[in-house]
Amino acid sequence: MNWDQDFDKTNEGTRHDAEETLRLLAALPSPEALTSRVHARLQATEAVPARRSFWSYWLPAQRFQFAGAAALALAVVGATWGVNHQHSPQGAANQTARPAAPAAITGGFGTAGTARVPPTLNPIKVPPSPHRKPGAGHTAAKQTPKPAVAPATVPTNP
Amino acid sequence: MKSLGQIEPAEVSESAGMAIAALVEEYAGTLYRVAYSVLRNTADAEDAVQETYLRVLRHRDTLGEIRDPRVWLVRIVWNVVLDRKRRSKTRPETDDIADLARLLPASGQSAEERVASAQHHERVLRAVEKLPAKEQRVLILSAFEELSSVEIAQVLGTTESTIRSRLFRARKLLSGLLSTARGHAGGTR
Repeated sequence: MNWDQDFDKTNEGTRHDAEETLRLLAALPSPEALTSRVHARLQATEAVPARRSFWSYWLPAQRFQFAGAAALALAVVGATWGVNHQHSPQGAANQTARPAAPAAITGGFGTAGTARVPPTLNPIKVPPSPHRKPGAGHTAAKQTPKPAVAPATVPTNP
Repeated sequence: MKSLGQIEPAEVSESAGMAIAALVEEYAGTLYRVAYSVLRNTADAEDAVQETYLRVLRHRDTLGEIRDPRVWLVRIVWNVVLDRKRRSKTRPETDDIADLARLLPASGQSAEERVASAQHHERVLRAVEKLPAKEQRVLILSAFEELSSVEIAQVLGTTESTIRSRLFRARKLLSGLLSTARGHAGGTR
């Protein structure tokens, strides 16, 4: 590129001077004992024990920890399912009785003429009366009038 | 020295401490200079290097998978440095640049030449500060002889062609800024 070449020629001195400054900056020596300080910092960091969880003390291997966690989760799920399963029949019993289904709809107003009869209005069955004594039966006979017997009529021939 | 790519993973996990120690010995200086070129503060640069190796320590189990530890480490320190610079954005850097210019080796022998050299360095560093961030980063990293344009691309997470174009733009902008600065300096005299 001509423009590029011209630019490079005209500004070459300036550019080299400027970049020389940056090169000097990049080449400044590092402080003494830098590496030893970095080593010391790394060793100090490594010396701090890593935080261990409660589980790691009695389940050191990670796979045991996973297995333990899975067993715990399974137990919780099983217990939850068991509780729900136990409660379900009672729950059904506690449910309020559903109203009886209406009569079969034959027309547009199938239930219009139906009368609801409350169950309390059903006829009460009376138990049969006990056997009575003969005396008691006489008095009763006196009181109750016998039906009148019609007198025998003799037919008369003319 | 045996590079990390040649070490078996099991071997690395066993001797991770030794491998990290070797990385410290070999690259701590380079990492410090990379950190210092951006932070321009001795303590901050050293902290950045230590933080870099602490991050390496956290990934010691995967050290065997690293192909080029040098570029990998430079990339880590670069990210650490940028994080730190972002946090300390409000810190004034004007005085730092003047101090830094005096720290750089002077090219002349006489006192006048040394003063002129320090002023030149200061002008350049101030001009670099004015560059856009992307161009500035490429220019700073290109000053390291250890890093090729491919490696700079790996550090910055971009392509080599992007690095080349950014470098070209950075040089052009820098030349313009320095010409303007010289013009101002000549006009004031």
